[in-house]
Amino acid sequence: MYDFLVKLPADEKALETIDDPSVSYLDMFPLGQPFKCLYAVHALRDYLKSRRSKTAASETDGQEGDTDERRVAFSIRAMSLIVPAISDPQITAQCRSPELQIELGSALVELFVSLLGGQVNPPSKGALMFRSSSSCRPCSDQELPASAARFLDGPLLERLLAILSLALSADTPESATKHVPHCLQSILQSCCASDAFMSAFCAHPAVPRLFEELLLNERRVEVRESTARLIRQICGPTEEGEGYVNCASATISCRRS
Amino acid sequence: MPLPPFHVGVPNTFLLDSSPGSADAAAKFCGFFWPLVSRLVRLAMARPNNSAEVLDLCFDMLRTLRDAQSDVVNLEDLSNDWFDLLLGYTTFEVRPGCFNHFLFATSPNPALLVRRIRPSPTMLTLSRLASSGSYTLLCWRAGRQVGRMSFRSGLCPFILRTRMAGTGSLT
Repeated sequence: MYDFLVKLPADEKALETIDDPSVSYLDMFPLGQPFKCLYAVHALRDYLKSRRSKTAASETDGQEGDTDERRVAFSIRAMSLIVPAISDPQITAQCRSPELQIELGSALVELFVSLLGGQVNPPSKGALMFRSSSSCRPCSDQELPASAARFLDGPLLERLLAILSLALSADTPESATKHVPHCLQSILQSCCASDAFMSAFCAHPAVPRLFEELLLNERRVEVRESTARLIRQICGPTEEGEGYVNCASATISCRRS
Repeated sequence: MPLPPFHVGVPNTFLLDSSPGSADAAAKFCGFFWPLVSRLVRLAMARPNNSAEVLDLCFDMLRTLRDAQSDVVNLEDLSNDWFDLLLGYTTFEVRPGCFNHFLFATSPNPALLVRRIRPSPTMLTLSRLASSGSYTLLCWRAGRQVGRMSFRSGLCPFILRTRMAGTGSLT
Protein backbone atom coordinates (compact mmCIF):
# COMPACT_ATOMS: atom_id res chain seq x y z
CA MET A 1 0.00 0.00 0.00
CA TYR A 2 2.77 2.40 0.95
CA ASP A 3 4.73 1.63 -2.23
CA PHE A 4 1.62 2.46 -4.24
CA LEU A 5 0.80 5.67 -2.37
CA VAL A 6 4.23 7.20 -2.76
CA LYS A 7 3.93 6.91 -6.52
CA LEU A 8 1.06 9.41 -6.38
CA PRO A 9 1.28 13.10 -5.56
CA ALA A 10 1.07 13.72 -1.83
CA ASP A 11 -2.35 14.13 -0.30
CA GLU A 12 -3.51 17.78 -0.23
CA LYS A 13 -4.49 17.52 3.42
CA ALA A 14 -1.04 16.28 4.30
CA LEU A 15 0.49 19.25 2.49
CA GLU A 16 -1.83 21.66 4.30
CA THR A 17 -0.82 20.09 7.59
CA ILE A 18 2.79 21.02 6.94
CA ASP A 19 1.86 24.69 6.75
CA ASP A 20 0.01 24.58 10.04
CA PRO A 21 2.43 25.81 12.73
CA SER A 22 0.44 24.10 15.48
CA VAL A 23 1.37 20.71 14.03
CA SER A 24 4.43 19.29 15.76
CA TYR A 25 7.00 16.88 14.41
CA LEU A 26 5.37 14.12 16.47
CA ASP A 27 2.07 14.82 14.74
CA MET A 28 3.82 14.50 11.41
CA PHE A 29 5.97 11.53 12.43
CA PRO A 30 3.89 9.54 14.93
CA LEU A 31 5.82 7.15 17.14
CA GLY A 32 5.43 3.48 16.30
CA GLN A 33 3.94 4.17 12.87
CA PRO A 34 6.86 3.91 10.49
CA PHE A 35 4.83 3.89 7.30
CA LYS A 36 2.98 7.05 8.30
CA CYS A 37 6.40 8.56 8.98
CA LEU A 38 7.66 7.45 5.57
CA TYR A 39 4.56 8.92 3.97
CA ALA A 40 5.18 12.19 5.83
CA VAL A 41 8.66 12.25 4.33
CA HIS A 42 7.07 11.76 0.91
CA ALA A 43 4.64 14.64 1.60
CA LEU A 44 7.44 16.93 2.78
CA ARG A 45 9.46 16.07 -0.30
CA ASP A 46 6.46 16.98 -2.50
CA TYR A 47 5.98 20.14 -0.48
CA LEU A 48 9.57 21.28 -1.09
CA LYS A 49 9.39 20.25 -4.73
CA SER A 50 6.24 22.29 -5.37
CA ARG A 51 7.76 25.33 -3.65
CA ARG A 52 10.90 25.05 -5.74
CA SER A 53 8.86 24.65 -8.92
CA LYS A 54 6.97 27.85 -8.11
CA THR A 55 10.24 29.67 -7.52
CA ALA A 56 11.72 28.41 -10.78
CA ALA A 57 8.55 29.33 -12.71
CA SER A 58 8.48 32.83 -11.27
CA GLU A 59 12.12 33.36 -12.25
CA THR A 60 11.86 32.05 -15.81
CA ASP A 61 8.32 33.03 -16.84
CA GLY A 62 7.74 36.02 -14.62
CA GLN A 63 4.85 34.21 -12.97
CA GLU A 64 3.80 35.25 -9.53
CA GLY A 65 5.85 33.29 -7.02
CA ASP A 66 6.57 33.20 -3.33
CA THR A 67 8.20 36.20 -1.71
CA ASP A 68 11.61 35.85 -0.12
CA GLU A 69 9.99 35.93 3.30
CA ARG A 70 7.62 33.12 2.35
CA ARG A 71 10.43 31.02 0.94
CA VAL A 72 12.46 31.48 4.09
CA ALA A 73 9.41 30.60 6.18
CA PHE A 74 8.86 27.38 4.20
CA SER A 75 12.46 26.32 4.68
CA ILE A 76 12.35 27.09 8.39
CA ARG A 77 9.06 25.24 8.77
CA ALA A 78 10.40 22.16 6.97
CA MET A 79 13.57 22.31 9.06
CA SER A 80 11.56 22.60 12.28
CA LEU A 81 9.86 19.32 11.42
CA ILE A 82 12.67 17.28 9.94
CA VAL A 83 15.49 18.08 12.40
CA PRO A 84 13.53 17.15 15.56
CA ALA A 85 12.35 14.00 13.78
CA ILE A 86 15.96 13.01 13.06
CA SER A 87 17.08 14.02 16.54
CA ASP A 88 14.40 11.96 18.31
CA PRO A 89 15.79 8.41 18.46
CA GLN A 90 12.33 7.04 19.27
CA ILE A 91 11.07 7.82 15.77
CA THR A 92 13.24 5.11 14.26
CA ALA A 93 13.68 2.96 17.37
CA GLN A 94 10.00 2.03 17.39
CA CYS A 95 10.17 0.46 13.94
CA ARG A 96 9.67 -3.29 14.07
CA SER A 97 12.77 -4.35 12.16
CA PRO A 98 16.31 -2.99 11.81
CA GLU A 99 15.73 -2.79 8.05
CA LEU A 100 12.76 -0.49 8.57
CA GLN A 101 14.75 1.57 11.07
CA ILE A 102 17.45 2.11 8.48
CA GLU A 103 14.88 2.83 5.75
CA LEU A 104 13.14 5.50 7.81
CA GLY A 105 16.37 7.00 9.14
CA SER A 106 17.77 7.17 5.63
CA ALA A 107 14.58 8.73 4.24
CA LEU A 108 14.70 11.44 6.90
CA VAL A 109 18.37 12.09 6.25
CA GLU A 110 17.88 12.20 2.48
CA LEU A 111 15.16 14.82 2.87
CA PHE A 112 17.37 16.74 5.28
CA VAL A 113 20.19 16.82 2.70
CA SER A 114 17.75 18.09 0.11
CA LEU A 115 16.66 20.80 2.50
CA LEU A 116 20.27 21.80 3.09
CA GLY A 117 20.66 22.31 -0.63
CA GLY A 118 22.65 19.22 -1.56
CA GLN A 119 21.73 17.33 -4.66
CA VAL A 120 20.38 13.94 -3.77
CA ASN A 121 20.18 11.91 -6.92
CA PRO A 122 19.57 8.22 -7.54
CA PRO A 123 22.57 6.32 -6.24
CA SER A 124 25.23 6.15 -8.88
CA LYS A 125 28.88 6.92 -9.17
CA GLY A 126 29.49 10.61 -8.67
CA ALA A 127 25.85 11.33 -7.86
CA LEU A 128 26.48 12.93 -4.51
CA MET A 129 27.30 16.55 -4.96
CA PHE A 130 27.82 19.60 -2.85
CA ARG A 131 26.67 22.91 -4.11
CA SER A 132 29.56 25.14 -5.02
CA SER A 133 29.57 28.85 -4.40
CA SER A 134 29.18 29.49 -8.12
CA SER A 135 25.73 27.90 -8.12
CA CYS A 136 24.60 29.69 -4.98
CA ARG A 137 21.96 32.24 -5.80
CA PRO A 138 20.95 34.72 -3.11
CA CYS A 139 17.41 34.18 -1.83
CA SER A 140 17.04 30.93 -3.75
CA ASP A 141 14.51 28.56 -2.28
CA GLN A 142 17.17 25.87 -2.36
CA GLU A 143 19.37 27.79 0.01
CA LEU A 144 19.33 27.48 3.72
CA PRO A 145 18.30 30.70 5.45
CA ALA A 146 20.76 31.81 8.11
CA SER A 147 18.12 31.43 10.80
CA ALA A 148 17.88 27.72 9.98
CA ALA A 149 21.46 27.21 11.10
CA ARG A 150 20.24 27.22 14.68
CA PHE A 151 18.78 23.76 14.10
CA LEU A 152 22.24 22.36 13.35
CA ASP A 153 23.96 21.52 16.59
CA GLY A 154 25.89 18.89 18.54
CA PRO A 155 22.89 16.68 19.42
CA LEU A 156 21.92 16.53 15.75
CA LEU A 157 25.48 15.47 14.93
CA GLU A 158 25.22 12.69 17.52
CA ARG A 159 22.03 11.39 15.93
CA LEU A 160 23.40 11.59 12.40
CA LEU A 161 26.46 9.65 13.53
CA ALA A 162 24.19 7.05 15.15
CA ILE A 163 22.09 6.73 11.98
CA LEU A 164 25.28 6.44 9.95
CA SER A 165 26.56 3.74 12.27
CA LEU A 166 23.31 1.80 11.93
CA ALA A 167 23.37 2.12 8.14
CA LEU A 168 26.99 0.99 8.12
CA SER A 169 26.10 -2.15 10.03
CA ALA A 170 23.56 -3.20 7.41
CA ASP A 171 24.74 -5.65 4.80
CA THR A 172 22.57 -4.51 1.90
CA PRO A 173 23.44 -2.91 -1.43
CA GLU A 174 21.29 0.13 -0.53
CA SER A 175 23.28 0.60 2.63
CA ALA A 176 26.57 0.89 0.76
CA THR A 177 25.39 2.93 -2.19
CA LYS A 178 22.67 5.09 -0.66
CA HIS A 179 22.18 5.13 3.11
CA VAL A 180 25.79 5.53 4.23
CA PRO A 181 26.74 8.16 1.61
CA HIS A 182 23.61 10.21 2.36
CA CYS A 183 24.31 10.15 6.10
CA LEU A 184 27.87 11.26 5.51
CA GLN A 185 26.76 13.93 3.08
CA SER A 186 24.25 15.28 5.61
CA ILE A 187 27.01 15.64 8.20
CA LEU A 188 29.44 17.40 5.87
CA GLN A 189 26.69 19.59 4.42
CA SER A 190 25.63 20.62 7.93
CA CYS A 191 29.23 21.57 8.65
CA CYS A 192 29.08 23.92 5.66
CA ALA A 193 25.93 25.56 6.95
CA SER A 194 26.78 25.97 10.62
CA ASP A 195 29.96 26.95 12.42
CA ALA A 196 28.65 25.36 15.62
CA PHE A 197 28.00 22.07 13.87
CA MET A 198 31.42 22.10 12.24
CA SER A 199 33.12 22.79 15.55
CA ALA A 200 31.21 19.90 17.12
CA PHE A 201 32.21 17.67 14.19
CA CYS A 202 35.91 18.56 14.40
CA ALA A 203 35.97 18.07 18.17
CA HIS A 204 34.02 14.80 18.21
CA PRO A 205 36.27 11.99 19.49
CA ALA A 206 34.64 9.32 17.32
CA VAL A 207 35.16 11.11 14.01
CA PRO A 208 38.80 10.06 13.28
CA ARG A 209 38.01 6.42 13.95
CA LEU A 210 34.84 6.66 11.87
CA PHE A 211 36.74 7.90 8.83
CA GLU A 212 39.37 5.21 9.30
CA GLU A 213 36.55 2.68 9.12
CA LEU A 214 34.88 4.33 6.15
CA LEU A 215 38.04 4.90 4.11
CA LEU A 216 40.22 1.94 4.96
CA ASN A 217 38.67 -0.84 7.02
CA GLU A 218 35.28 -0.97 5.30
CA ARG A 219 35.21 -4.03 3.07
CA ARG A 220 32.69 -2.60 0.57
CA VAL A 221 34.51 -0.62 -2.07
CA GLU A 222 31.39 1.48 -2.76
CA VAL A 223 31.54 2.88 0.77
CA ARG A 224 35.26 3.59 0.59
CA GLU A 225 34.88 5.27 -2.79
CA SER A 226 31.88 7.42 -1.88
CA THR A 227 33.57 8.54 1.35
CA ALA A 228 36.73 9.55 -0.51
CA ARG A 229 34.63 11.29 -3.16
CA LEU A 230 32.72 13.34 -0.59
CA ILE A 231 35.90 14.42 1.18
CA ARG A 232 37.51 15.25 -2.15
CA GLN A 233 34.50 17.37 -3.14
CA ILE A 234 34.36 19.30 0.07
CA CYS A 235 38.11 19.92 0.22
CA GLY A 236 38.93 20.15 -3.45
CA PRO A 237 38.97 22.90 -6.04
CA THR A 238 35.88 23.88 -8.00
CA GLU A 239 35.46 22.84 -11.61
CA GLU A 240 35.94 26.43 -12.65
CA GLY A 241 39.37 26.39 -11.09
CA GLU A 242 38.45 29.05 -8.58
CA GLY A 243 40.13 27.23 -5.75
CA TYR A 244 38.26 25.60 -2.90
CA VAL A 245 34.54 25.00 -2.96
CA ASN A 246 33.63 27.99 -0.89
CA CYS A 247 31.02 26.73 1.51
CA ALA A 248 31.65 29.68 3.81
CA SER A 249 30.79 32.10 1.05
CA ALA A 250 27.63 30.16 0.32
CA THR A 251 26.63 30.45 3.96
CA ILE A 252 27.43 34.14 4.03
CA SER A 253 25.40 34.82 0.92
CA CYS A 254 22.44 33.14 2.53
CA ARG A 255 22.88 35.24 5.65
CA ARG A 256 22.67 38.37 3.58
CA SER A 257 19.25 37.29 2.42
CA MET B 1 51.43 -1.24 18.53
CA PRO B 2 50.78 2.48 18.93
CA LEU B 3 50.98 4.39 15.71
CA PRO B 4 53.57 7.10 15.43
CA PRO B 5 52.25 10.54 14.60
CA PHE B 6 52.13 10.90 10.87
CA HIS B 7 50.69 14.36 10.53
CA VAL B 8 54.10 15.96 10.42
CA GLY B 9 54.02 19.70 10.65
CA VAL B 10 50.36 19.82 11.58
CA PRO B 11 49.09 20.75 15.04
CA ASN B 12 47.86 17.77 17.03
CA THR B 13 44.57 19.47 17.67
CA PHE B 14 42.79 21.28 14.93
CA LEU B 15 40.79 24.11 16.41
CA LEU B 16 38.34 26.02 14.33
CA ASP B 17 38.25 29.75 14.38
CA SER B 18 34.50 30.24 14.38
CA SER B 19 34.60 34.02 14.32
CA PRO B 20 32.47 35.57 11.59
CA GLY B 21 34.30 36.08 8.35
CA SER B 22 37.14 33.78 9.41
CA ALA B 23 39.01 31.44 7.08
CA ASP B 24 37.20 29.65 4.35
CA ALA B 25 35.24 26.57 5.44
CA ALA B 26 36.66 24.39 2.69
CA ALA B 27 40.18 25.27 3.76
CA LYS B 28 39.13 24.35 7.30
CA PHE B 29 37.90 21.03 5.98
CA CYS B 30 41.26 20.46 4.32
CA GLY B 31 43.02 21.43 7.53
CA PHE B 32 40.85 19.02 9.47
CA PHE B 33 40.92 16.10 7.05
CA TRP B 34 44.58 16.26 6.04
CA PRO B 35 46.06 14.94 9.32
CA LEU B 36 43.23 12.44 9.56
CA VAL B 37 43.69 11.06 6.06
CA SER B 38 47.50 11.27 5.88
CA ARG B 39 47.70 9.30 9.15
CA LEU B 40 46.00 6.44 7.31
CA VAL B 41 48.77 6.13 4.71
CA ARG B 42 50.91 4.10 7.07
CA LEU B 43 47.99 1.78 7.82
CA ALA B 44 46.99 1.60 4.15
CA MET B 45 50.38 0.22 3.18
CA ALA B 46 49.58 -2.89 5.18
CA ARG B 47 46.16 -3.22 3.53
CA PRO B 48 46.92 -3.29 -0.21
CA ASN B 49 43.45 -4.53 -1.10
CA ASN B 50 41.78 -1.57 0.60
CA SER B 51 44.42 1.09 0.14
CA ALA B 52 43.57 2.68 -3.20
CA GLU B 53 40.93 5.08 -1.86
CA VAL B 54 43.12 6.40 0.96
CA LEU B 55 46.20 6.81 -1.21
CA ASP B 56 44.32 8.41 -4.10
CA LEU B 57 42.52 10.77 -1.74
CA CYS B 58 45.76 11.65 0.03
CA PHE B 59 47.42 12.37 -3.29
CA ASP B 60 44.58 14.65 -4.41
CA MET B 61 44.45 16.48 -1.09
CA LEU B 62 48.18 17.07 -1.05
CA ARG B 63 48.06 18.40 -4.60
CA THR B 64 45.23 20.74 -3.61
CA LEU B 65 47.09 21.93 -0.53
CA ARG B 66 50.24 22.47 -2.56
CA ASP B 67 48.38 24.43 -5.24
CA ALA B 68 46.77 26.55 -2.55
CA GLN B 69 50.21 27.08 -0.96
CA SER B 70 48.68 25.96 2.29
CA ASP B 71 50.81 25.85 5.41
CA VAL B 72 48.77 22.94 6.75
CA VAL B 73 51.41 20.51 5.57
CA ASN B 74 55.18 20.65 5.99
CA LEU B 75 56.30 19.18 2.67
CA GLU B 76 59.91 18.60 3.66
CA ASP B 77 59.03 16.68 6.81
CA LEU B 78 56.33 14.81 4.95
CA SER B 79 58.67 13.79 2.14
CA ASN B 80 61.18 12.52 4.69
CA ASP B 81 58.53 10.47 6.42
CA TRP B 82 57.11 9.00 3.25
CA PHE B 83 60.54 8.30 1.86
CA ASP B 84 61.24 6.33 5.02
CA LEU B 85 58.03 4.44 4.41
CA LEU B 86 59.10 3.67 0.88
CA LEU B 87 62.51 2.45 1.98
CA GLY B 88 61.07 0.31 4.72
CA TYR B 89 58.46 -1.23 2.47
CA THR B 90 58.84 -4.81 1.38
CA THR B 91 56.61 -5.94 -1.39
CA PHE B 92 54.69 -9.08 -0.60
CA GLU B 93 52.51 -9.28 -3.67
CA VAL B 94 53.49 -12.49 -5.38
CA ARG B 95 50.73 -13.02 -7.90
CA PRO B 96 51.47 -11.64 -11.37
CA GLY B 97 49.23 -8.70 -12.13
CA CYS B 98 48.54 -7.97 -8.48
CA PHE B 99 49.62 -4.41 -8.00
CA ASN B 100 50.08 -2.50 -4.84
CA HIS B 101 49.38 1.18 -4.86
CA PHE B 102 52.29 3.01 -3.44
CA LEU B 103 52.99 6.56 -2.52
CA PHE B 104 56.32 8.15 -3.01
CA ALA B 105 57.17 11.57 -1.71
CA THR B 106 59.91 13.59 -3.27
CA SER B 107 61.82 16.52 -1.96
CA PRO B 108 63.11 19.62 -3.74
CA ASN B 109 66.47 18.92 -2.15
CA PRO B 110 68.17 15.81 -3.63
CA ALA B 111 70.72 15.68 -0.81
CA LEU B 112 67.87 15.22 1.58
CA LEU B 113 66.76 12.10 -0.21
CA VAL B 114 70.21 10.60 -0.61
CA ARG B 115 70.79 11.05 3.10
CA ARG B 116 67.75 8.92 3.85
CA ILE B 117 68.99 5.92 1.87
CA ARG B 118 69.93 2.98 4.03
CA PRO B 119 70.16 -0.77 3.67
CA SER B 120 66.77 -2.38 3.32
CA PRO B 121 65.26 -5.39 1.53
CA THR B 122 64.35 -3.07 -1.30
CA MET B 123 67.16 -0.62 -1.86
CA LEU B 124 66.51 2.68 -3.57
CA THR B 125 69.11 5.01 -4.92
CA LEU B 126 68.59 8.40 -6.37
CA SER B 127 70.79 10.24 -8.79
CA ARG B 128 70.40 13.61 -10.36
CA LEU B 129 71.14 14.18 -13.98
CA ALA B 130 72.53 17.67 -13.91
CA SER B 131 72.28 18.20 -17.62
CA SER B 132 68.58 17.46 -17.87
CA GLY B 133 67.60 18.61 -14.43
CA SER B 134 65.81 15.35 -13.76
CA TYR B 135 66.09 12.65 -11.14
CA THR B 136 66.36 8.93 -11.62
CA LEU B 137 65.20 6.52 -8.97
CA LEU B 138 66.65 3.05 -9.06
CA CYS B 139 65.14 0.15 -7.20
CA TRP B 140 67.51 -2.63 -6.08
CA ARG B 141 66.80 -6.00 -4.57
CA ALA B 142 69.43 -8.54 -3.58
CA GLY B 143 72.10 -6.56 -5.39
CA ARG B 144 70.14 -6.51 -8.62
CA GLN B 145 68.49 -3.49 -10.18
CA VAL B 146 64.82 -4.30 -10.52
CA GLY B 147 63.29 -0.96 -11.31
CA ARG B 148 63.98 2.48 -12.64
CA MET B 149 61.96 5.63 -12.71
CA SER B 150 62.79 9.14 -13.86
CA PHE B 151 61.01 12.33 -13.02
CA ARG B 152 61.59 16.01 -13.58
CA SER B 153 62.85 18.14 -10.74
CA GLY B 154 60.56 20.92 -11.88
CA LEU B 155 57.64 18.97 -10.52
CA CYS B 156 59.10 18.82 -7.02
CA PRO B 157 57.81 18.82 -4.40
CA PHE B 158 54.98 16.50 -5.23
CA ILE B 159 53.91 12.93 -4.90
CA LEU B 160 54.27 10.32 -7.55
CA ARG B 161 51.89 7.45 -7.46
CA THR B 162 53.68 4.36 -8.47
CA ARG B 163 52.62 0.82 -8.66
CA MET B 164 55.11 -1.72 -7.56
CA ALA B 165 54.53 -5.04 -9.20
CA GLY B 166 55.17 -8.37 -7.59
CA THR B 167 58.28 -8.68 -9.69
CA GLY B 168 59.63 -5.53 -8.10
CA SER B 169 59.61 -3.43 -11.23
CA LEU B 170 58.46 0.13 -10.95
CA THR B 171 56.03 1.35 -13.57
